[in-house]
Amino acid sequence: MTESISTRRGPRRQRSRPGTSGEVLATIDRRRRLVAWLQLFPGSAYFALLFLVPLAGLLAMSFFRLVDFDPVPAFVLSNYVEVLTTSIHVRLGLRTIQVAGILTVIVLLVSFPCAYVLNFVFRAKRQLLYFLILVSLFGGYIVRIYAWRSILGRQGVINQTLIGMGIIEEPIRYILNSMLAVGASLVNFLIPLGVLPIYAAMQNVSPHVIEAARDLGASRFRAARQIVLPLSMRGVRAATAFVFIATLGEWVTPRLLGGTNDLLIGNRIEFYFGQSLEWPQGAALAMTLMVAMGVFAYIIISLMKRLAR
Amino acid sequence: MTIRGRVVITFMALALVVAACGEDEPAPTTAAPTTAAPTTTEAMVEAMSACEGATLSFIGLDGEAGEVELEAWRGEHGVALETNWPGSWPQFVAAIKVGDVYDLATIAYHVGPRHIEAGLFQPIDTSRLDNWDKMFPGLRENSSLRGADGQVYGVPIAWGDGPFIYHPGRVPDPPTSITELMDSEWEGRFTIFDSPTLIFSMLAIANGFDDGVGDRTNITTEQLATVKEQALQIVRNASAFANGYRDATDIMVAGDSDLNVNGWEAMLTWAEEQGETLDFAFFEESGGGGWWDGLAIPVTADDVDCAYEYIDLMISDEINAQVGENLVSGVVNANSAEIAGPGAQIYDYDLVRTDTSAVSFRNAQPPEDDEAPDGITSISDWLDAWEEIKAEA
Repeated sequence: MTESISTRRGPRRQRSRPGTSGEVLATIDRRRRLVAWLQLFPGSAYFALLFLVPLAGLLAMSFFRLVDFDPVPAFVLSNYVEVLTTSIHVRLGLRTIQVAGILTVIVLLVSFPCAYVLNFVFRAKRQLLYFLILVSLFGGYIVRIYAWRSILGRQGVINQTLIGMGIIEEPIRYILNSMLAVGASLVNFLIPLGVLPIYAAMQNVSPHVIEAARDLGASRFRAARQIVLPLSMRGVRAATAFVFIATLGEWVTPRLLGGTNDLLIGNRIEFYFGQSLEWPQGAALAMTLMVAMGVFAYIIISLMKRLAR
Repeated sequence: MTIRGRVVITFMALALVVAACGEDEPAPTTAAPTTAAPTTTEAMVEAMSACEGATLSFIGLDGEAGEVELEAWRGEHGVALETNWPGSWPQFVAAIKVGDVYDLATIAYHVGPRHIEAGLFQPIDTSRLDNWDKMFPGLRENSSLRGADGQVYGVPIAWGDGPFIYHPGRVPDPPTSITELMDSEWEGRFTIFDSPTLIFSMLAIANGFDDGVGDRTNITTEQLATVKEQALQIVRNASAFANGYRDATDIMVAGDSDLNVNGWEAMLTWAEEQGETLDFAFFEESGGGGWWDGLAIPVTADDVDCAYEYIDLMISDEINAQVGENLVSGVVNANSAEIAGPGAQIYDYDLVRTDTSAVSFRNAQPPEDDEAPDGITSISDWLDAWEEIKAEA
């Protein structure tokens, strides 16, 4: 018994003697570690090759100088100075943060009850409901954006329903090509990303705890707020990070569903890489955005930790 | 495995799929081929081909690589054509810049000068193109085909004028000037493309800052400020940026816009296919201004000889006539204009018939940064102004 406990603590604490069972256990433990590393390797290699290496390239390019549209290796900080002092970036950046913040709140407000219902109300059907949430991701990103066009357009489902019910006479022109359309589509896209981490975190919350709270007189809402929420805060934080970061980097949805005044900071990065061909400038803006994402995510998650205490 | 474990793994897998699939843009201006390819001439079959058994890799717009028009010729010579559209012009630039091998590429009028300047293409030796001299002088001599070094970098295969497209049922009195789109009655009723060139140049003409004759739109910083202010109002009134001509057509057919500022006559055909009737007209500032799409040889090309032969075929009499018909565009070969079908006959070929008529087929872009005379705004100034407009709108 003592030996098995020390094995779980790790081989370094073992005093193995040649030919003893301790040595055998240490060998098994080493093999397990090797297998674990081998299992990690494909994912890590994929991550390193297709994310870290290009990211390093992007970082290097952000210090390059542009000569005749060609990024020339150099170490200049002017790209970052330009990024941080250009008023367009500030305006688009603030708009993006505002949109990301609002959408994050909306997605969390929808996702938490959804995960709660999934875990504690319809426990018997949760596999089916969980699958239905996943199904919403199957449609494809662009296809769903075009579906939203059909729903929100002048001849779309909403306008035609309102006309059919006699509520309006002329179709409302400003539903599509607006921030409302961008928000509706993004919320639809992001809800599964919000529900799943919260759902996973709620797996650790025993239904008996909620029953105990209910037996002691707590309402369902109070039990959810004072017991389930703090216990599943890790999932809520993960969902917040996913949703907030995904929105900060968005540029396709505003392009296809937004109006001419609904562009976000991601569209500016697209401009640098596509239209003006100022790749170092685009790289500097992308890196700045990435750092800003990290800072904002840290601040929000820290605030949430404090609130949960 | 616990349910939690399964959830996490499923979630990570889905995140990867979403990340991999989520950033494609719909392909822009594409032309659906509408006619079958005829048999190629005996002369073409008998000619020794530099492309014998070759695989030709093309990057660019759908329908502009002779997919249909040269299908029979490719079959006879065992040529394989690989066509690629990376999703957007930025990705197009990136694909060549990172060194991907392509033998042929689209060079499009509105981005061509920037792409030439960016070093995406190699100079074209026009003496290697038998059909080069048959090209309308208004296109052949046009400066937008040329780089700062004066060399030709693109070979037009199709061209068109610059109308706006509108829905006659919803717009009984189409506007005559682009300045009318600043009026509040147009708010939310039209789409534009995300490019300053044509809007700025037309506003410059409307204000009398530019005569619409020179090969570039030369306006001063103060004049650009005025143009920018007016363009801001137009952008505010526009309902959305259309993502290509197909997209602009679909938006109009769906009833979400009444007019598209920079149109293409092919949009009428596409709308007709969906049961809607559209029409085209010209702003008085647009003159005969238009566009051309062509073929270029990327710097990464592997089979340059075959690329030359293929380009030459694309501007040959019969093939170019088919290209014009299939793309609902003007043909570039003067002989092709005589035999082309009705889709290619709706254009006024006087616009390109002489090299002086290149005046009407002008490059409305401002000078490149290193070409701009003192006090005259350059392409970077225009792009910056456009980005400021989009941020302020």
